Amino acid sequence: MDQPVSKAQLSGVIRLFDTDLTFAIPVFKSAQLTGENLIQIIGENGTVTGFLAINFHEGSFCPLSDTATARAIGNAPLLAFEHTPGGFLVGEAKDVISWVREKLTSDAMVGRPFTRSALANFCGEFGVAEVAEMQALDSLPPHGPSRSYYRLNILARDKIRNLFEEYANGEFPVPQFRIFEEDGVLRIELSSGTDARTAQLMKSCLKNRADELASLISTTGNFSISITDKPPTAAVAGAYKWERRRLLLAARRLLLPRKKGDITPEELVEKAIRKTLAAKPPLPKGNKFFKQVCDNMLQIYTGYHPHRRLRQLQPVQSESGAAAIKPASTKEGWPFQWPAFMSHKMTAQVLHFAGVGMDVGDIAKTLGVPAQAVDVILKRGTSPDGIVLARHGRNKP
Amino acid sequence: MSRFWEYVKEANAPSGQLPLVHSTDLFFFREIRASARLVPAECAVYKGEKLLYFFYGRPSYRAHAKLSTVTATALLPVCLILSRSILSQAVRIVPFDTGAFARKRMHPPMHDEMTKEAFELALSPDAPTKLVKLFYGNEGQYFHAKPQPEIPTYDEFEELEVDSYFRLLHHRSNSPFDDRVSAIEVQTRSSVSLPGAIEAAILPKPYLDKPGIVTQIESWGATAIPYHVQEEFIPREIQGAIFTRLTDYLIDKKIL
Repeated sequence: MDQPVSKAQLSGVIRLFDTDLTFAIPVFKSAQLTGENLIQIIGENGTVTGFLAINFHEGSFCPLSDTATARAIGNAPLLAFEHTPGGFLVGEAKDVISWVREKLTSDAMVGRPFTRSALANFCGEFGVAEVAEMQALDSLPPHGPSRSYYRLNILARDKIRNLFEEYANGEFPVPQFRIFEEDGVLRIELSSGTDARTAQLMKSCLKNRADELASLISTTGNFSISITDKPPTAAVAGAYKWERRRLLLAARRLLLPRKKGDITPEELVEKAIRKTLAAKPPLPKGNKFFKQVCDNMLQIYTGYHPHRRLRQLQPVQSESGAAAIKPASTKEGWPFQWPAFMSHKMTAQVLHFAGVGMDVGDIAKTLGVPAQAVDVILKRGTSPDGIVLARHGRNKP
Repeated sequence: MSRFWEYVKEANAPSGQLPLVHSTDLFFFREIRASARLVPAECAVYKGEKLLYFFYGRPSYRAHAKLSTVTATALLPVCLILSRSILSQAVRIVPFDTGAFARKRMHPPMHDEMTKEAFELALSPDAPTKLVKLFYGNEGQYFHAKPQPEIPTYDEFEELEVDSYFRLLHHRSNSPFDDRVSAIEVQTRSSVSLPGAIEAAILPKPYLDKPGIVTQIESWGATAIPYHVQEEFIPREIQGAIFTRLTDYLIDKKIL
C-alpha cells in the first residue's frame, strides 16, 4: 500500500460462517486504494487505526445495498451481525449489542448453545452465558473425549483463570497449570516455574471460590481441590522433573557472581536450596538422594577448597552408582576464567550424577556456561570410565 | 545435503514429542470433512508441485498472501493437530515458512542470493528435533519461540546459512503470534487420511453447534476443541486464542 488509507466506505461483508446469528467481517472500499477490498485495523484502544487489504474466497462476499456508512481513523469500528440468513446488521458495538441481546432468548437459539454462550458473553450477559455453557457441555457426545476435555480444559480451566485474575487483582500473571480429575477430586498441577507467592495465591483463591467450580466437577457436591507442584506420576523415579528444575535453579543461583549488596553468594545458595527443600512436601524414600545432593552441594560450594570439593563428591558418586569421579592431572592452559569455569563444570557433573537426566554438556549450557567451555567440558571431561574432573595448580578457592 | 543440515545434524537430541499442525479455514475444512483427508494442493512457491503443508508443533499461518494483505483464512482458522508420524512422509523439512522466504520477508538477515534449499533438513523424523535442540534448547522453548542466546561454535565467515538463521531467530519479534518465519515447515506430497492421524481440531466456538461436527471429529479419533471468536476478527487476538488452546492441549498431554 503506497499511502495509508485514512477513510473508507462500507461495501459489504465477508461471511465466514455458513449460518446466521454469527458475526461477519465488514468490507470497505476507498478512493485512496482502488480495486482493493479493505478491512478495519483495530488498535488497542478499540478504535480504527487504519485499513488493510484482504483476500477472500469467492462467494463469501455479500455486497450491501446501504453503503453510505463510512469509517475513518479514530472512529469506533463497525461490526456486522447476520441476524437472519443473508440479512446483516452493521453498526458500532453498542448498537450491535442491543440487536444481539434480543436474539439471546429467541427460538433461533434453541439447539445452538455454543453460539448462545459466545453471543451472551459479547453482550455482557454472563449469567446467560454460564447456562449456555452447561447446555453446550451437555450437547457433546456423552462418552467422547471432547466432552471431558471441554469440561476440564475449557470450562474449568477458563473459570480458574478468571477467578485467579480477579483474586490477584491482575498483579500476578495466571500461572500455567495442568488440570485433571481423579476419583472426583479436581487436581491442579502448577507449572514448575510458578513462584511460591503465586502458588499460595492460587491455593487461597481456589479455597475461597471452590463453590464456583462445583458444577464443573463430574461427581457433583462432593469434591475437593488439591494443588500439587510436582507430577505425581514421576514420584517413583526418585528425582522429579520439577525437582530437577529446582535443582538447576538452585545451582544457577549458586553460581551467581558475588554481589556487593546485602546478601553473600553463600547466603543466596543456602536460601535457594533451603527454599527448594522447604517448598517440598515430606520427601518420599526416593528423594533421599536428592536431599543429599542438595546438602552436599551446599557444603561443596560454601567454603571448601576445590581439592576438598572433589573429595566431597565421592559420596554423591557412590550413592548414585555412577562411574568413578576422579581428579585429572590436566596441565593445559585454560581459556576461561578458571574458578568460575571449575564451578560450572563441577556443578554440571554433580547434577549429572544426581540424575538430572541430561548430559553434562546440556546441563552446563543450561547453567549458562559459554558454548566454547561446554565443548571443552565434553572433550576433556569425559573418559571411558566416567567423568573426569580436571584439576589445575593455579586453582584457588 | 545442505550445509545448514551438516551443522544441525551434529546435535544430540532426545526424541521429540510435539505434534504437527495444519492450519486451514472453515471453507476448506468443509472439503476436508467430506473426504476425511488432507489433500496436497498446487503450490505457488514450489511451482508445478502439489504439496501439503504442516508446521512442527506451532499454530502458524500463511496469513499474508502479499505484504499489507490479510486473507480471510487468518480471521477464522481451523487448527488441526496431527500425529508426528506424518514426518515419515515428508518430502521437505525446512526450518522456516518457505512462503515467507520466497516473498523475501526474512531478508535481511537472509542474504538475497541464499536459496531455501540451502536450509533443508534431512528427511528424518528426528530432523526437527535436532534443529530445536540446537537453536532453542528444547521443544518448550521452540513452542514459545524463545531461541537460545548462544549456539555451539560455528565459523560465522563460512557457515553463512547457520549465521543467518541464528540471526533470523533473534532478528524479529518472535512472539507466538508472529512466529511464521521461524516455525519448522514440513511438506508432504501424499495425502493424509485423518482417521488415526488427527489428534485434535481447534475450531471456532459457534461451529460446534453444527450437527454432526463433533461426532465426525471424534470418529476420526480426535478431540474437538472450541476457541473464542473475536467479534471484531482481530487476527492477532484470534491467533492468540488458538495459541492458548493449543498450549493447554499440549500441557494436558504432558508435552509442555
